[in-house]
Amino acid sequence: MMTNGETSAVDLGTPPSGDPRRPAGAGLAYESIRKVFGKGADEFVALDDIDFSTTPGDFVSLVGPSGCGKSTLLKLTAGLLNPTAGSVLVGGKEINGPRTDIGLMLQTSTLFPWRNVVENISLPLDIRRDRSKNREARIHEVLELVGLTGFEYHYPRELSGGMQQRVALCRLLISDPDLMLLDEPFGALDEFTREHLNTELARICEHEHKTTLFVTHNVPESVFLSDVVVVMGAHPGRVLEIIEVDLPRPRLPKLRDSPEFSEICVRIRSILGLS
Amino acid sequence: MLDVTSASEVGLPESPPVTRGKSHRGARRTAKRSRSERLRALGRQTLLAAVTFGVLALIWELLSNADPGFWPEIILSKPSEITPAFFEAITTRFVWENYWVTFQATILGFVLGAAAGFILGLMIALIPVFSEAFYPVVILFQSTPRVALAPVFIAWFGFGMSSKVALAATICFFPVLVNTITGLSHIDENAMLLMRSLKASRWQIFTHLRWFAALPTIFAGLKAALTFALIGVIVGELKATNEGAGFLIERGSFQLRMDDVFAYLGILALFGLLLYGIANAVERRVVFWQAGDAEHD
Repeated sequence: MMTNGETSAVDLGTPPSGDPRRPAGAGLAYESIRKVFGKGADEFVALDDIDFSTTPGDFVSLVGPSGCGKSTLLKLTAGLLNPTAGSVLVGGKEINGPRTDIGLMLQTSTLFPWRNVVENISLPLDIRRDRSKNREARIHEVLELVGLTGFEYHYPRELSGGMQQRVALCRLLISDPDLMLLDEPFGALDEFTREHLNTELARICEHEHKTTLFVTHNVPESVFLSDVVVVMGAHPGRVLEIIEVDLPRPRLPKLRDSPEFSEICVRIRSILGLS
Repeated sequence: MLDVTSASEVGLPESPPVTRGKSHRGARRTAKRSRSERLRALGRQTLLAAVTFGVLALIWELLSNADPGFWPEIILSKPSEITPAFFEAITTRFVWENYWVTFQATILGFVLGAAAGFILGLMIALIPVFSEAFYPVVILFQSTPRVALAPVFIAWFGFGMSSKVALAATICFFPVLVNTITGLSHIDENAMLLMRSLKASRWQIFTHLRWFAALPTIFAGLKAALTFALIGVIVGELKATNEGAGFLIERGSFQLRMDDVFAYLGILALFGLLLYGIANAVERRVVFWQAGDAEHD
């Protein structure tokens, strides 16, 4: 499924043969999305006139202040909310409820404390009653991908916050979704762990070539990870500008110190009115 | 030691669910703590408790030598008389037989009351119609001091086993009911989002998430209920039987054999402790992921 058996931890950074940006995953398309919460005097326009689409395989970040509706847009994409108007298309098909080809990861790991690491990762497989023989092998594959080999039978409370998020990422990867939705996945972690995990995430996404929608309010984080940064504004939630991030891959930590990187960050910050 | 409030035993409404006691949990602060560390902590606790106990007994003994007008020994007895009475009691077959009766009644009352509370709690939490139909009635009954029902049960079930089992079951019923409802009603929003994104069915959400998430709270209710059952049985026995621990205490007090009475009370305390210990051990196995100090919510 996600890796081809002989993949080892060493070559994970290099995309499979020849094709560095093999189109994979599903393209995203938002068509005149409007989302309103409440009625009458309590009406609150969370999103207005969201209209853009992305290329399959792209890493897309939604960046903006709180109240810009970025999490709402992610939930609409997950099929957990319905738009008031307009439609969301993933891989060309309209969203009208949760779909198994779309995976979700939240800021809290929401690991089940009564399940150990392997059991937590198997949750999606249990729910779709996947009893295939290679379950275990696939779980070990994703664990290796995030560097958690050896922690198979630990319980969540025995893991650090960063490790818990890695397990949550494994639980997402095990379904082999065409689209990964990440809602501030490392937002609750300390700066150091967060940067480290972002580097890991960049590596994993380059390896997996999955379309990814990433919600954050951290500008450098979005630039580091993304092919496309969607800069959003609040009241009502709307798209201010869409920035292509044309930085080389693989994305490595030293990229954060490059002038090109800073330049894009500064541009986004100025769109957001931060500088 | 027991994390049961005395307000509950007289039937005051215990509307907030019984939460897991924070005290005396030192022996299992972290899951990573080794067995030897746990034993050492337990040893330390036991030693300190024994010292406190010894000092109190010594003060009691010294006071009993004081002026009878100030310290009437005849109704207060003293440790040097209670100790032999205690050892005599625990070696007497008749005493054991009576405690055995109390034990049976407690377990029976607990099983009946807890099962009823659990099943009704399950229905109220899972079926909206039941919630609307039963919850107001439950609240009403919960506010009634259950011990006050003792005469009613004696009138209904007569003297002997059934009235005290009924009393114990009634008292057990509520903490289990309330905690089952609370445990099943509190659902972590993010876990719910996750389950929905995975297209889990209602039944899957129950078996994979809600049931396990509710277990710690349900167990806290069961633990409280077990202690409540003992209270119910003893109250029943004080009122209306000619056997059981409560009967021994009642009769001893009536005959002013205070050394025996205190010995019986001592056995009863140990008995309660044993029940609680068993409940704790079972809980630690079933709700194994809750071994930390963290309060479940």
